[in-house]
Amino acid sequence: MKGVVFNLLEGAVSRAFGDDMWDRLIDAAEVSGAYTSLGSYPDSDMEALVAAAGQDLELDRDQVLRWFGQNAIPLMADIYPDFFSAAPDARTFVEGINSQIHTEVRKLYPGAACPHFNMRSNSSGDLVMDYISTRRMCALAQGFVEGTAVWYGESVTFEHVTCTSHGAPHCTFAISWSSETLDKVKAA
Amino acid sequence: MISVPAPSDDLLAKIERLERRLAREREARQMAERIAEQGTRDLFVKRQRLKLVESIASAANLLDDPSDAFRVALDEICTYTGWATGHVWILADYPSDTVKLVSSGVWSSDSSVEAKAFRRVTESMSFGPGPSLPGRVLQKRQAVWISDIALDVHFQRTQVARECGLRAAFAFPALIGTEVGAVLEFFQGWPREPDETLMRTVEQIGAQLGRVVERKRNSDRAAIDKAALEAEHRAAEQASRAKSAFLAVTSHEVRTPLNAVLGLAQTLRREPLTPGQHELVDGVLASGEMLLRLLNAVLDMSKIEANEVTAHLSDFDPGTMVGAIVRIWTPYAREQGIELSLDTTELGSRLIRSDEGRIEQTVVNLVANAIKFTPRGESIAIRVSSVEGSLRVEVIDGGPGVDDSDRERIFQPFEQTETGREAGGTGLGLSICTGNVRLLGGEIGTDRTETGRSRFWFQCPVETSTRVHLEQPVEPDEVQGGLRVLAAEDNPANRRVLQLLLAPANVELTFAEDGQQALNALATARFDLVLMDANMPVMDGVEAVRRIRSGDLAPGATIQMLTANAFTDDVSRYMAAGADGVLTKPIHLPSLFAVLAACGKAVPSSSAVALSH
Repeated sequence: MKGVVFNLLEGAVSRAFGDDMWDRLIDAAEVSGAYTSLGSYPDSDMEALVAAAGQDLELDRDQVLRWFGQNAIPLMADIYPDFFSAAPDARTFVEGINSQIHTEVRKLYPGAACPHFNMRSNSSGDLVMDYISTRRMCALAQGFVEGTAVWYGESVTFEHVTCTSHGAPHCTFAISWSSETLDKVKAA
Repeated sequence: MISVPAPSDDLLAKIERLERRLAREREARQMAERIAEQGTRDLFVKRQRLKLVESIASAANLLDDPSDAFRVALDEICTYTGWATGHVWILADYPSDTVKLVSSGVWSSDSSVEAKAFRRVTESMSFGPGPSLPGRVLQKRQAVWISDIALDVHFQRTQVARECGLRAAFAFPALIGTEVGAVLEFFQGWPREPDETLMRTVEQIGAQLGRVVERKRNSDRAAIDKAALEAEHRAAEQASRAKSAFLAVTSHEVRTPLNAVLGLAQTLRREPLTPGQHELVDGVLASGEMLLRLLNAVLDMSKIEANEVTAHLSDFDPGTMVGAIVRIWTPYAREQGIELSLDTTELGSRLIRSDEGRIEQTVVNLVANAIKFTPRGESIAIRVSSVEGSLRVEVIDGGPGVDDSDRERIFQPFEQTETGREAGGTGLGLSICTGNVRLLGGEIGTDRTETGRSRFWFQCPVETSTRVHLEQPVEPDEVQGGLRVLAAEDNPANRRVLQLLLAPANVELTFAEDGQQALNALATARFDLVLMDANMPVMDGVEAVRRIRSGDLAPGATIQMLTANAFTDDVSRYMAAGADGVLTKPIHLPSLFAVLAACGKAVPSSSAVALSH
């Protein structure tokens, strides 16, 4: 896994719980903790860190990954503002993951194993996404989608239609966005 | 001394955490630097490789000779890889049915010093597809790598290569599509494992070099095609010259007996004959003269190809000429059940100046066509008239005529109507007519008369002759008797004709059979007129005339060339040799007598001879 993901996790944890929390997770996960965005590190380091966080916060793996995804988005928007300014709304941003975001990621980090999303619209106009990755981090993907909606000031409904953790060959999400809902919530 | 309070445990723990954090950051930084440095190195290597491919590609684009492009590629690849030597195999031209690689003799620049013996051995070898290094490339059409030639049983130059300190090798093809056009091989002084990236790179280079080989091959083929075309062109020109020569010879060969026929007929005409016999002889003469004109027309056709056609103007009576044609064709037309009629009532001037042969040929073609297309029982009317300084001839037949849509077309060479094809024409007659009439500045066409009959016509501007009447033929008795005539003529038939033609003139005729005999005759006797055939064995007429004039062997005598070759070039050649004039064969009797008459007046006495000196 690319070092930049570890950097994002460190940033999210430190911002939410302070620098000491990150030290504790490194110790508990028994990893080196020295990550540079240019490098690549074993997936097992990430799993160990996620497990340590789950232990500390009393959350399961998926909950930690989802939280990480939600909280990584504001950090990403700081590092790569162009990714976000290029898309006018959350749906456009998500729809451009394969062609825009991951293309740019591969330029910056040669050899990055980005997941691929097959996308289409269903009859009610929701975006249907297939998540195809050996890492089984569908919860991280969900967190990213939800974090993005927040960043754009929209509300999102994320339905995990099928999941590999329940024996499906791949995960499928059905996603719908609404900018008005959040406005109403805010107004209320 | 200032006492410093001992740091608290909390503070110590915090310092320890910060130190650990710092150590992590330092480690991450060093890792990042290593990664960045490696990336920079990779980038440099990639750029070098790109430069290598680019420089060879641009050489391949600019250089036409594959050897030059190969030399650039060998040097660039040796510089890029640091390998010791490189060499190019090319496909042997012969034998063409097998694929065989031979040395091109092109090596990388630095290879001569170290690998002299290896060069010598390599250049003496050749390879087909097989397990050898070049053979494998030829077979697999891709790059081949030998990590250590000492361990490769199929490498055939192992001993000399090791003596020259060469251990590792790779080779790749210059590909034209999927075909191997050449093989480049490289050698290095120590064993080396295959470099896949390098192999892919050189294969890319191979595709560029293949284009140079292909270009060269195409240009060689084009040169061969061009040479073949030029050879064909030369052969065609040769054939054309042969045809012209054939025509010239044939015309001469045909004219000689025709000369005899016409001459004998003219002589026969002077005999006392019954009116019936006279008519027969006139028929022989008219047909013979027509044959002569036909012969001239054939020669003109050969001149048309060289754009040398000119009109031969003479004074003649068109009414008489067309009348003769009608007389000649009447018996044939009657056999077809067709009546010919001639109307010359609107012919103003009886004596005009134009090209008689061409007008005659045109009329004959139109009359013959009319007979071809007129059904039995019908008639053909031929009208000759004068229209505003032009001669107009109309041939009105009883045939179906020509559709409006075909009227322009039928005057083009080889263009025919369906009816024309059925009638068995060549498609040339009318185009010859068109050529004739255009040469005379006239027009030709076809239309219908007021009564709807088919009409072919032509009209061309003619001069009215300045002469009041045609020159009356010189009669034999106008010629002074006793003229001494020397005639050099190798053909016995022509000698007989001359004898007959000159008989009424009462001349003293001496014959010579070639130029040399003529010179001998002149050495022993004096002559008033020398008639000199142009083409004779032993010594030809031109040479004889030249010698007569330069040696003054015939003082006071007139020399007339007798020739069937009366092209402008020939005439000027004869005149340059010293001839006074040219009589064309078959000999026109009035012209011959005009010459005799002039001779008699100019050189009858010794005083005239003296005057000429």
